[in-house]
Amino acid sequence: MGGFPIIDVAIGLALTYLLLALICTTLMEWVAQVANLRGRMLVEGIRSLLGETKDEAPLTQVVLNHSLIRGLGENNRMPSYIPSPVFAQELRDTLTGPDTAKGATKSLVSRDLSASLQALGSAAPEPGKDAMPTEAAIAKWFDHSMDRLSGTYKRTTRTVILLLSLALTLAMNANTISLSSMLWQSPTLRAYMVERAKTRLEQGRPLATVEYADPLSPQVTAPISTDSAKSPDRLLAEEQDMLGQLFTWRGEPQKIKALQARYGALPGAGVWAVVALIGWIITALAISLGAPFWFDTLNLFMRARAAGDVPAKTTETIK
Amino acid sequence: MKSGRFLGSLLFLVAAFASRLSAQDFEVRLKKAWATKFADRTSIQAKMVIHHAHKSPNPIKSGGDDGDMHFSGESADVGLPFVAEIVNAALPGEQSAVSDVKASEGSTSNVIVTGAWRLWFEHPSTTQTQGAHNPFSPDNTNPDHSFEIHPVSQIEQDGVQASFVLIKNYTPYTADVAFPYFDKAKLTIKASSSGISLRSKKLKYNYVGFGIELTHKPKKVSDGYIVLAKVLSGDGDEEAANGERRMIFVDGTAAAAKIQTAAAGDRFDVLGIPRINLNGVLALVAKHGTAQFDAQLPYEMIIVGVK
Repeated sequence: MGGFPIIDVAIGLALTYLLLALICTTLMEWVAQVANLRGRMLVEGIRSLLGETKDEAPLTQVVLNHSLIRGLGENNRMPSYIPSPVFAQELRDTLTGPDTAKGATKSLVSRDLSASLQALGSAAPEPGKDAMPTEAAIAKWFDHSMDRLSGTYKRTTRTVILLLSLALTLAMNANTISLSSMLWQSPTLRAYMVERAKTRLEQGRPLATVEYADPLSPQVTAPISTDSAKSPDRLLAEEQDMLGQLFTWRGEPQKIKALQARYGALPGAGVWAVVALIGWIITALAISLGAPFWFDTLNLFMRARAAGDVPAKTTETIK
Repeated sequence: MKSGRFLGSLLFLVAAFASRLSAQDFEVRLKKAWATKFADRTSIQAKMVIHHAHKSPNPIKSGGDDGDMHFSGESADVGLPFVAEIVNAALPGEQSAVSDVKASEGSTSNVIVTGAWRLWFEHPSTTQTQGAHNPFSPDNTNPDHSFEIHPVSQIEQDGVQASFVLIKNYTPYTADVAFPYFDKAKLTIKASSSGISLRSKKLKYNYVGFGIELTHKPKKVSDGYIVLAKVLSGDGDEEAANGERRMIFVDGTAAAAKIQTAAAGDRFDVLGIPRINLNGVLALVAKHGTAQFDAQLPYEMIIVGVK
């Protein structure tokens, strides 16, 4: 299928975006871990749920300092996930425990939280008692709140990934227009990229798994961890070398000089800047689509090249 | 000539890229012990909180117009957002159960729903994890889901096993169309020590009309019968599926009553719904441990009615 160089160019671009997206995913996980992004967003979510502000969140502190919740985090950090039954139990214990009788905890309950608890609680509370919702009702309330938080987290990570994509693109000078031109002009480079693409596809797209605390019990319980954060897909040494050779800042001054010689000093620099800017933006946007997207796209392009479907490591049949 | 070929290639790439934007993979992560519990069961009993219910059953014609009544909700016994469906919901005998469902819509109280469990990537979410907090979205009778109780056999005390019959005036998918599609579908599987992740493209073909020829005597399980059978095309002359498949018969249904005395070699014309064969998934996981692998989709057929 050597007569369709444009498909090979597309394969080269898809492979490059896939590798850059993998780097970006690793960077994102590193940022999320270092900044404890999930834990911090969870605290903010709980603070908002309990009707408290960043400056004054005494009840949030009491709930989060409870041993059951602290025990969920590693190295004294906030956990990234709290099972709703645990939160419900903690909040109920905090609000109905011995300290409440002395009025110590009751004073921590904000007006917003009080209204929420009233709405969740019994419609006909016992005389003289507050309507305290059941653990199931609190758990459901917490779950709904976590729904919203999950959406917020996704939006935040999308923004961070886009920023990281831009930073990575600029740091590497990963210009889609330059790369397309190189691929179009060099059959050798195209052939090399196609070979590398085959190797990459043979690695398979990683699937995240979860672990459960009670592996032998068939009852449904919340998972305790996921390996999705480990990003099992790593760049091979050859792929790192390839990216290093494709993208560099080294030849750029010569390119600018050549354009200046052709168009004049300022227009030449301007042409270089516009082309580079467009190339960088395309690259950054492409990277932000994520590695799984580019893995599947690469697979599609490879099939289109009539090389046949790249065989998976194992394809089993069972009746 | 050369520019025509270039433009053709370019158009192809644009079309392929656009199709990639819509054809994505979907994942569901299950607890391994839960999957093991239900692998050789025909059905599940779940205490369900019903969020939404159809006002009336679907019309009957073909495809999605199947006469089912859908209701959506959640259950701690399932740990995933799901939909339950009463087959032949317009039949007079099912009206008490249909009323139970409508009366419980939007309530926070549990309704005990029993029926065939069904894992199938028909309306999947990008990712769902059993037991984790999975968004119930869209908040209607058809949220993103890969799990169903379908068909329902009992709601509280109201048995609807009599609804497990052929759907009058409904044109199901034919074996020649559905089974080659099922046989071609792939499932990517990866297990941890306590969980199993499954990834697939969207799957289709709910109701299929086909013939079966039993290759073994039906096996009694705790809540019905499971039998291995060859899948035959409509005229019964050719095998429509590649080899034997498990056929699932839920206890108390007319289909189960017909099959329990059957023997190897007996033939039946049936109406069935596909589901992922968890027994097959677990067998593959036992072989591969925690390595990721692709497999031909392990599936089996829930038998709704026998002609």
